[in-house]
Amino acid sequence: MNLRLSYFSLMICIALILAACQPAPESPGLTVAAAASLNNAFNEIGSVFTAQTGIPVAFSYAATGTLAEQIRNGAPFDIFAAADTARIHELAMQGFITSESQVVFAYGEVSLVIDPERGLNIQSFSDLGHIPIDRFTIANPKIAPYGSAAQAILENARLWTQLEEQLIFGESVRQSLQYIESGEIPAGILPNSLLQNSMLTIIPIDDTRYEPVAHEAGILAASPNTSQAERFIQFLYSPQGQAILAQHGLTPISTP
Amino acid sequence: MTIPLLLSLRVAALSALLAAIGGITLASLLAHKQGLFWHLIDGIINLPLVLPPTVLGYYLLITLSQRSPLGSWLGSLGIHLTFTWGGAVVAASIVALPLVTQSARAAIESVPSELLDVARTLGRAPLAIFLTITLPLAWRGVLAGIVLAFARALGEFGATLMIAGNIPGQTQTLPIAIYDAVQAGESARANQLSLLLTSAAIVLLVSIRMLTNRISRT
Repeated sequence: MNLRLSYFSLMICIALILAACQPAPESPGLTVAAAASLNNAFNEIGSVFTAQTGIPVAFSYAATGTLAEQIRNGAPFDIFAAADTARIHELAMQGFITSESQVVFAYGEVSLVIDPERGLNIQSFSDLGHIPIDRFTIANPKIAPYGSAAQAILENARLWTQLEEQLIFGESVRQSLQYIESGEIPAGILPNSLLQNSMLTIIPIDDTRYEPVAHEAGILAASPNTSQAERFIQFLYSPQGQAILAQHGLTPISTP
Repeated sequence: MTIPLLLSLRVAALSALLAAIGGITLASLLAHKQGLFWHLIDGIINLPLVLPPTVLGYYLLITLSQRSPLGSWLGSLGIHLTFTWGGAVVAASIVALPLVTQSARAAIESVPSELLDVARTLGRAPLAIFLTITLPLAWRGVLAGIVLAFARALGEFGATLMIAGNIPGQTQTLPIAIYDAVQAGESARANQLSLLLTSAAIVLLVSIRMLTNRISRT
């Protein structure tokens, strides 16, 4: 018995040591911190960019505010592609992002999203105030620019106080979308860039109700891969990159 | 799927080793100790069991961040623990430490004190007694603690997300890959990874049961 158990413990120790001695994970290419709204568009941008340049890209998606705070705490990203301009400018002022690298590469719009299986009789945005909804989701306005855009829309339509009790904040727009897709929450306001292949009912929101969200990118001052990062940013506003962004529901920048 | 798995195994294994070294040392210091001072030490070691992961992650972030004295000192040595896999190891080790300490302490305290007294009267040094008598008799409990620490480190999520972030290939461990897949609406991937982690947890828990069952029988 003792022999079997000592084999067992020896095996555990060997397994632990072997697992601990794997080569350290390294990033062979670029690491891009990207706003959650860019999830679908950047997955495609990344695979096309890698196919063309041979540079692998890894994306870390989260709310813009979350990523900005990670960068302030030393996160080793090469590029930050945000869903606003204010945070990029602030990071540039604080020296985390090189000021010459900042570029707005797309604009994003939002829609009212309804779970078709709930049978809510909402045909247009203005119906929102007249139909009782038990819960409504937007991304947390404190950290997600699309969340604060949604908040502004609801406030301007004088619906904020009416819906405030029903609001469930997603940690990012991805989480809010997941709440609706899983059937937990019947409706919300989300970026069009996550809704391209969605089975949900999508109701446009008139762009007079809000300012489209500007997506700005910048290269981190601490990035060791500046020239590769520059190629990625160039790809973002190249005709091909802009076409991919447009396919995913983003508005390209007007090319000169 | 294999990249988060390998990363998780690596992080959990290193964390279990670190927690084993720290936990056995602490357990041998704490064994048979009474009094407010030792209760306080014991309480501090056990804090990660009751503190919300966000509090632990926040403490780690403010102590290890480049903006903190410790973080900038480590940075000057070339050691970066925020948003690297090293940070994930730190988080998982701290969470796993009380599990080894508790289990090892109970096992060490169950070693008959007469044996230790005999060794002492025969002139053995305390460290030699610990290594040649206490540990060989207590090893099942110690090993069960280490396996439990490994399992806990494999499942560590909250503090890891705060200190190491969610960077594929670098800090995206299995639990964080699951969180990312759910957020991205990739339910097939989330299902696969969850199933993998659940199976691993069951195997580990069964092996702990096998180890500890034999303790109660002998």
